[in-house]
Amino acid sequence: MKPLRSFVMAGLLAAAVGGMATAGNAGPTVGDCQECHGDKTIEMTMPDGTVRSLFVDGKAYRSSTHGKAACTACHVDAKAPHGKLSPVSCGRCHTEAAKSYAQSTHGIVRAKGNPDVPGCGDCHGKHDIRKVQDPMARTFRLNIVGVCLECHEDRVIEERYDLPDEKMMAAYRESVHGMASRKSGLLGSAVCTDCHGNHLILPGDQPRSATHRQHIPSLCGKCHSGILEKYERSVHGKGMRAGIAESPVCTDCHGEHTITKISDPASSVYVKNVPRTCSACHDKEAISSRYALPKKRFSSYMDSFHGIALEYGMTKAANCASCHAFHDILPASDPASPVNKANLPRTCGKCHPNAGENFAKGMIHVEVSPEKAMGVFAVRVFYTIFIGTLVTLFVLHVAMDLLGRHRRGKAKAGKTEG
Amino acid sequence: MSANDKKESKQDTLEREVESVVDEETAGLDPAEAGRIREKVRARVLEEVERERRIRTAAERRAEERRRREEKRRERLHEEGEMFERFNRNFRFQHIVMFTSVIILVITGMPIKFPEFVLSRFLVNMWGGIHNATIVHRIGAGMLIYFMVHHLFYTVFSRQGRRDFILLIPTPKDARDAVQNVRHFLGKTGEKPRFGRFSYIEKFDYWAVYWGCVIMIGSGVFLWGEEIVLKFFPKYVLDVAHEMHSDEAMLATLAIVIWHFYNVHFNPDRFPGTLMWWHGQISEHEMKEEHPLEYEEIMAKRSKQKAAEVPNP
Repeated sequence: MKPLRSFVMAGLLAAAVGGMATAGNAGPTVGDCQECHGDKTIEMTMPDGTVRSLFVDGKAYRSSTHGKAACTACHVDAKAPHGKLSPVSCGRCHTEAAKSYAQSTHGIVRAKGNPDVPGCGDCHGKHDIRKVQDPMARTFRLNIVGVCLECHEDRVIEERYDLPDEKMMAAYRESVHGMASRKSGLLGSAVCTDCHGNHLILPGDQPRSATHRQHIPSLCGKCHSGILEKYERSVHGKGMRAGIAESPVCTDCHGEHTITKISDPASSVYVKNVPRTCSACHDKEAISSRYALPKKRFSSYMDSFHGIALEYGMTKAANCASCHAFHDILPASDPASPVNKANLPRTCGKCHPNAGENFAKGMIHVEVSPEKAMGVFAVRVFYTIFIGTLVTLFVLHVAMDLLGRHRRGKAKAGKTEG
Repeated sequence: MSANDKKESKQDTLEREVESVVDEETAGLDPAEAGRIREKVRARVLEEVERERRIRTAAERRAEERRRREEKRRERLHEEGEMFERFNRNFRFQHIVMFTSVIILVITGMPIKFPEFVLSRFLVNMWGGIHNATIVHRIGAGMLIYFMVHHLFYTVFSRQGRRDFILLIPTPKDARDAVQNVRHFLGKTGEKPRFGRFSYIEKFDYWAVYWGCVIMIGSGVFLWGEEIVLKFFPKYVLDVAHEMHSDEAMLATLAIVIWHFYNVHFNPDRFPGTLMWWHGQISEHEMKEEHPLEYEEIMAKRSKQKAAEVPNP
């Protein structure tokens, strides 16, 4: 080897080493890590015997939102050969999210070291994290339901943490919101995070929770704002604003995960199911006494032709909402209420054309009692006595006739034998 | 000459005739050929004769059966005696219209009173839903209204109708009959009360229908034309009509099922019912049993007629 050549070689080598050294100072590059972690077979046996793959898909990482960053941006203590790395802390950059998460029910339980509870990576992914707006992201609107249900559809987890039945969770898929996002791919449809929040998820019974009763109307109103406006004007909305917890909010009538179209017979607000939905509260003695509401609304409705026809499937028969309205329901004493005496002819006239003021004379919910409906009561009492007496006489007459025949038959038989 | 002999001789003549024809036709042929044809013809003729015999016996069998039935009827007539016409054709027609309409009204109306009853849903769905059931109920109502009008005209303009109506008016005798009948049932007296054309039981049935029709048609018409009714009356009038319609329906159904069905169809004398509503006939035997006074009246009238006929031949 010629000295000059070897000198040049040495110089180049030194430069290369120097370059590597500078690179080393900045920590290993993605390529460096990939030298080991790009190998699909690389794995580690955990203390409890399970085998865990240490493979990192370089391609997926590079196309992720963090793809331009070095591994060490998250794995701060990574160097050439390394043992167990310290856990990744997303909060170093995403401070707001980490703060919210720490206050959420997931965050609180995870802080106790419970591995069942999702951390950042369980929802957002690890090396393949993409932006929420990216249709390939795990947290993209159309994908997030699947991510949440990974755990919440698991019976073991639901039971371990005393969460609602896994079927209740999965019912979302069949709900009107679930169908809209799953089948029609509508981005406007509500997904888990729209109602429950994303990082700051709390159980519905906590006042800070997005799904606490007090927040439900405004929560649903984020999308259904026209209806929220009507609801706020209603007696239920006013009650809710006044802090009466028993005042119904959207979910009390429509359901939560099970919300379906009103045209679906399974919906709690389907025409045939409306009376039962309303009477869940209005047939309760406690509620009607506490708020001085008229009683026997359900039974008197079910005794009327409207109620019976509806039971037999005549969907055009009037249900509660046909007369009382639904979102903008008001007490009969309110002049704006459709069941105010002054408005009854118009309300009845929706189905009974030419309805006049006589419609309002008398009870619509006929309660058969001397004070409420004397005429009907008198007729009923008369017939009860009349039918009772006549039927008793009929039966006695028939019974005596049969008895007489029996006795005479026996006497005759005795005579012929004797 | 018995029928059998006659048949045989007829067969003989037929055979002879056929044979002569065959002889004539086969005259020119050689004997072996002629014999074969003769055999063939004989077999064919026998077959034909057998077929005819079979057809004739079937017809005879049917005739025989008819004769037997006729005889049985005559025998029974002998036992039951003469048949009297209890209900004329007009009256029978009215009854058929009425019970058809009542059955329709009950099966379409009761499910509305008792939606929880097991058959209710079936009875409503049978018509294709509650809306159709209400239409069928109105058809039944129309029939009942027609019956009512028909019967009123019958009562006023028909001689039989007028006569029956007067006989149906309750009298003190009915009360006595009822008491005696109960005493008879209980074995206090051996004598059955002697009824006229209509017993107190039948009178009750008749007036129950009268009362029922007035209430049901009256309240039903109110409910039918509710929108017109509400122009003139307040709603609580309609509520009362509704209650009356519903309660009276219950009473009418119970009266029919317990009183009418037992006394007319299911009591041990009649079980499982009679066809009197169809043919309107009552036998002499039944007449003497159940309507002795009417029977005597008819007999008295007849003998008077006969007596009147004899002097001027």
